[in-house]
Amino acid sequence: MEEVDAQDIHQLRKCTIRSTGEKKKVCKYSLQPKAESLTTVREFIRTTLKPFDSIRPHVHEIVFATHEACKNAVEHNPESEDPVDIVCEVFEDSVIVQVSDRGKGFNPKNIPKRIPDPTALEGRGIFLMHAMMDAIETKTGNNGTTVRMQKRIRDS
Amino acid sequence: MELEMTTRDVGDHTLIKLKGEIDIYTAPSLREAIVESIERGRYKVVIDLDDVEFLDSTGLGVLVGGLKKVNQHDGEMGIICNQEKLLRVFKITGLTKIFKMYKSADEL
Repeated sequence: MEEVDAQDIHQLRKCTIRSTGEKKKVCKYSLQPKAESLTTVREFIRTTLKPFDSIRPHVHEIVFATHEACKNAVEHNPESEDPVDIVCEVFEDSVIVQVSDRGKGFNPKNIPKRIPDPTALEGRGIFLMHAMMDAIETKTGNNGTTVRMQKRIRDS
Repeated sequence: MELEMTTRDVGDHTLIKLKGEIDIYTAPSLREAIVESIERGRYKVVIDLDDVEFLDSTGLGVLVGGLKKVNQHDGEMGIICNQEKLLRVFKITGLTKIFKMYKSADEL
């Protein structure tokens, strides 16, 4: 399978996920690929992060970015019945969320390079994900797409 | 998850108050509520987001679609939003410039 590294499409930020302090918690979730199920992945992230006071100011950003990644996985693979796999890792100074689907992948060239005009009806999700997170790495191919996103926790 | 909607007319504005989460699953019902307002000849629509926990990019698209529809009738699309986490989403995407942003329904 030809794997396309889509990292270069994300030009809003430097997108390197750096290894980070002690790992405190890892939780995994298997999401049913349906629009009505996305509320459950938001709840999964909220519940996973709840014990950590230092993360509280960033919970909405992490929930939002995870939701948008899962929404893309569900929306762009409408025939798929395979679950979307989410891994949420909590480190001392960051949170890393990985979202993997087994869909048909996408062509990175189809991702717009600039934030859409305010009057556009769609295309905002990926830019908002970048605005909410510190680093995003995407790999896509015809066996699926994996998005890894990191939020650094500064005030811990 | 549910999205509760309460519509009422305030002067020449129609206020749609939302409670819950707006995402790809619930956004179509918001689109319908906006369309129903327009069908009643009410082209000044204000969406109250103060009790909304979550708003995704699909929800933003529905609000922009509503704006385009009311603009065809020289109407107005207003947003009431006092939650910083949601306001940020509007600011990042430049949407505070195209919606009329209100602090509360008292301003209508």
